[in-house]
Amino acid sequence: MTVVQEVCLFARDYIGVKAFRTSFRKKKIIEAYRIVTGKSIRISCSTCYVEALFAIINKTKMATIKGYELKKGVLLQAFGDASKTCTNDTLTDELAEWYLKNFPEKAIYFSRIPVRPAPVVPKNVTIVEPKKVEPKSDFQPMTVMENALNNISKAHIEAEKKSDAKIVTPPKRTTAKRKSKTKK
Amino acid sequence: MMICNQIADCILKNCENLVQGIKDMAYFINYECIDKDLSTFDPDNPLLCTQLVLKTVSPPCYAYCVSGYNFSNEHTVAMVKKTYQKVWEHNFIFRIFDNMPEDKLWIRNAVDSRFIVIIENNYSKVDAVLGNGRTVFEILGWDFGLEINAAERNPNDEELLGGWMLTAGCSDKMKESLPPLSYFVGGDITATRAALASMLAPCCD
Repeated sequence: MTVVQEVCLFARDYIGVKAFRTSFRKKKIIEAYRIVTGKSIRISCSTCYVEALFAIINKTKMATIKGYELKKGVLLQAFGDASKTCTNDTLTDELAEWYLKNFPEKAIYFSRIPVRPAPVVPKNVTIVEPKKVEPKSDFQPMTVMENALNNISKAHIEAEKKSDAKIVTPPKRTTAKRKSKTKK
Repeated sequence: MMICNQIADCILKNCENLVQGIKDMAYFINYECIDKDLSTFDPDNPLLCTQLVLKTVSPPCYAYCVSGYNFSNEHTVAMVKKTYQKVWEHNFIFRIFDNMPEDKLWIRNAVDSRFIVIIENNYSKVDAVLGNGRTVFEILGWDFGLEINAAERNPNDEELLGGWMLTAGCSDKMKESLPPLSYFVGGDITATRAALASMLAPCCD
């Protein structure tokens, strides 16, 4: 890998994350800038390195990005076929598709799986789209949820009341006691 | 009665000569970066890590290299007996032969963080059946991660000549439940090295 390619690879991290602006990477940027532009980089300003990075990226073709990417540290293996062993560094799109086809459970080890392109529709076929139902402007999912929960709880309470009413029927002896009390 | 962790195998004489020491290159991975759900272990041996996976997050996770010089890295492990249980103390002592502002920033960041360390032993056992090199890589601090317990610099030091000596180890109370894990991916050392290489930060080149 050349210095310029290396710089293009870490450019995103360098621009986005301050902690990644290490002296090692600054040296690489200086070197790559000299290769690409033939000039020395200005290092007096705080944004000089970032500006130099943009200059490098603009003047070089960005590296072609692979469609599939494995998580760091993952090694894929197929039993009995050593040629299929790969890490992210050696992964090809064909190999990734082979793994996903034969071992779909290994999809968890991929950090990037490209979205499949839309299917090609033949000319003589027309696709009828379903009617769009526009949501109400005052539609609030939280209130709908709360109402539903309230209804459920009300139904529960009513059901409990009914069941309680059946079980706790006033016993006859209580009335007898009352009667005795009133007699006294 | 639950029966577990009983001795179930023999240890026979090792006819090979052991090689002492660890390599000068060690790999530091931030503890939060490890995807423990996707990392795998040998089903018969929880001390053999067969896949160490890093999370895909932003900023990206890497294994950062720390390079010593002339066998300047040291590693010790010791069992610590508690009242009821036994735990393990992992230690990693390393030296930085420089004192640049970047080195100091690295040390300050390391002091404030937890990390696991992958070390490479000089001893690589030849084993035609189970795979060569199962003794090479070890992971320190899998359970809780290590922290910097001591950082020292003496400009008049005759050995370090003004460099830094750092000691990474377990917390005072929280110790590791197991000895350092062996790291062996894909059944051979080449695959293990490839897996490790896929984790390395660009600055390792």
